[in-house]
Amino acid sequence: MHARAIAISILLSSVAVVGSAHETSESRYNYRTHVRPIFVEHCGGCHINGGVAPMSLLEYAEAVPWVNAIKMQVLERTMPPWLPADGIGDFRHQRSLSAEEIDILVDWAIGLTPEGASPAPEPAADESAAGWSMGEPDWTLIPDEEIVIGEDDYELQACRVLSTTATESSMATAFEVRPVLAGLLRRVTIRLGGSCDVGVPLATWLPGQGNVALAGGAALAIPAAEELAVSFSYAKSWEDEGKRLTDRSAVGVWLTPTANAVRSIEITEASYPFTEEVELLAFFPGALGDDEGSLRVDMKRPDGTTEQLLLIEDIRPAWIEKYVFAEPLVVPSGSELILSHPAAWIDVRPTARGSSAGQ
Amino acid sequence: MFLWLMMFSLVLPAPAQDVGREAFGVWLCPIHRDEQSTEAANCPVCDRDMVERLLAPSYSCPMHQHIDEDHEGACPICGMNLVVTTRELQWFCPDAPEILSPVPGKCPDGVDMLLRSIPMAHGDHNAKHGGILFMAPNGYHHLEGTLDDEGNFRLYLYNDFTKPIDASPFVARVNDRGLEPSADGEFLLAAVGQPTSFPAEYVVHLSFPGAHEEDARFDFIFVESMMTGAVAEAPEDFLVLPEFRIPETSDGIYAAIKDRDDRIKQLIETGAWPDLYIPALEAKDLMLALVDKEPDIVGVPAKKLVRAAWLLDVFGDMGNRVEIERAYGLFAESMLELEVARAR
Repeated sequence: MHARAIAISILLSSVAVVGSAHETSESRYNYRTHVRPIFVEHCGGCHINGGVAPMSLLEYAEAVPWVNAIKMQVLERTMPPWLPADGIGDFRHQRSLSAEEIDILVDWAIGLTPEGASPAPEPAADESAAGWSMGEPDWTLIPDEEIVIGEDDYELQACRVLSTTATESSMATAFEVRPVLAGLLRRVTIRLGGSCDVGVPLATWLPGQGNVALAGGAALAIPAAEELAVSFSYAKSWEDEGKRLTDRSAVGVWLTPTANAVRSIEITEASYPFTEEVELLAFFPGALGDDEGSLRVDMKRPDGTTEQLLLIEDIRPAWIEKYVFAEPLVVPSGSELILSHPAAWIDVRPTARGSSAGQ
Repeated sequence: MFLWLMMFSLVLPAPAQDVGREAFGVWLCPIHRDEQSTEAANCPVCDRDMVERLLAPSYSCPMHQHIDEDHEGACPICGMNLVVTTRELQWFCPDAPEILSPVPGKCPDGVDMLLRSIPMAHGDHNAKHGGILFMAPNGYHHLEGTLDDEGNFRLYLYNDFTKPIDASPFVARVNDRGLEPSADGEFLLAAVGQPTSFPAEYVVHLSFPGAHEEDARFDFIFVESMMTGAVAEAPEDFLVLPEFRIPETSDGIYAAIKDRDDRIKQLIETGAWPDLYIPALEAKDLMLALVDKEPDIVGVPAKKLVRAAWLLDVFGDMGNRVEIERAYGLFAESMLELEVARAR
């Protein structure tokens, strides 16, 4: 299939070369067959009717007026919003496009945006009406007090402390948010304790992410009677300007009775030494501003080798999240974590060889 | 402009059918548009007849765009040399204009359909006044800069069919000197003086009437031959690449990508921005072919190279040196990452 597409490309470009000018030809890719599946997989969490983005990309007529923006955002790697550099670290929920996907979207956007004649597939389900991704959670936590986004509010960050009412310590394996205002809720951060600014960051949730879980069935400990501080971030589109809106989105938590606990460690210096072998499960950057350049996290092993774990070249604070490794990363005893910004949380779990994660 | 680039014209396919000129057919399945063929065929998925769309080179006058000839020559109106544009050929019914076809046929009243060629948006990127033509970032406006013997810089504005438009509402400066509209609105003008050396570079900042977008930058680079009308000679070290094809081996593909990298560097050095797309998009297609062979090795640098190639294409058309050099920086990074990845 690819060879055939290349042949067409050569044929069309030959016409342009004759004209010694770069003239437009119809793309070999069309919306129905090639483009929409990419939008569904990588963009549909937000760019869906009723979603948080200002336009749906899942309908041809709505996507086409935006092709110039789509082309440039894809080429500049602004969208989909995935900040870690390609090829460094392997994370869950990554939203980076492959080389072929980039090529398809840009070729289509430049090449007269053919629609294609195959029947339109069913639109992706509207997340605001969907249920939980893993069935009913063990805890469904809903703020007692509704959050009000006032007429004059364009963006709003609201903190709500949710009580778990658990009488015993619990082990949480996954978190999810079921938004009520799906068109406004852009980000949720869940921390342990009563403050949205400090405390163990359990999970970040972004639209379209489904549930957020650590690799290997690892679980985060929630002490008895502990509270969860949940930060809800909203942004209005032009359609909601001037409206007063209210929200009581639900947080779902799934528990397990058996997992050995993950330990969350706060790092406040530019390096952190590991005194025992552990599995590194997740990295949560501390507060970062727009002007802080890049974020780099390396692991230096006892044998002197260094592995880059995370690189964010263009920090956009609104899109920073808790980065969950696709597979647990074994960190030998004597290794050192080196951070360009001395503020972060990590989730680790002792291996069989590590006596404990008491560091 | 940069006539030596014409030597890279590819071997043209045979005429698709007798339309009085060389035409180039692409056959598509009306249902499964990813099923394509360079010759008439049935769709391998649904067995439907594939439908042809015809493009053809058309020799037209830079000043009289309705001139549509199938051969080189002079404009019958003004005598200017004709230039090649791309047009779409289609058959139509004179009494039922809504009926169009990429293949000949009969009209409802039984008469044969007639053939015509129609201009395509962006089908003509030829300069009309012997200057350098760029496309604006908005994808609609086009502009041409010329420099005459007396050191006058003129800026002509066009629409997406390269038809002249009134230049008066546009505000522009060249090398920080303001351009003034001519009395008839045909162009904007500034006396910039004769260049002291070649290549001579002029940076234009242009704002569009009623637009909220930022000023756009265009880098016009004039070589001496453009001023004298002489045919430019290719530099002695100019690369002559063979006809584009995808080599069979991974090493062959990698070598072909490196050749395109060298070509891109050479074009950037000479300021031949509009021609960047040829080696850039060839490098991109080569890279995607290499991904097919070595997905685990080159998948990551391929993402960067594909982005960089398209950015070179986009900004090459716009003639913005700053953005072109930024795009090439990305391309060079990907080449380095590709080399490292393959060395592993």
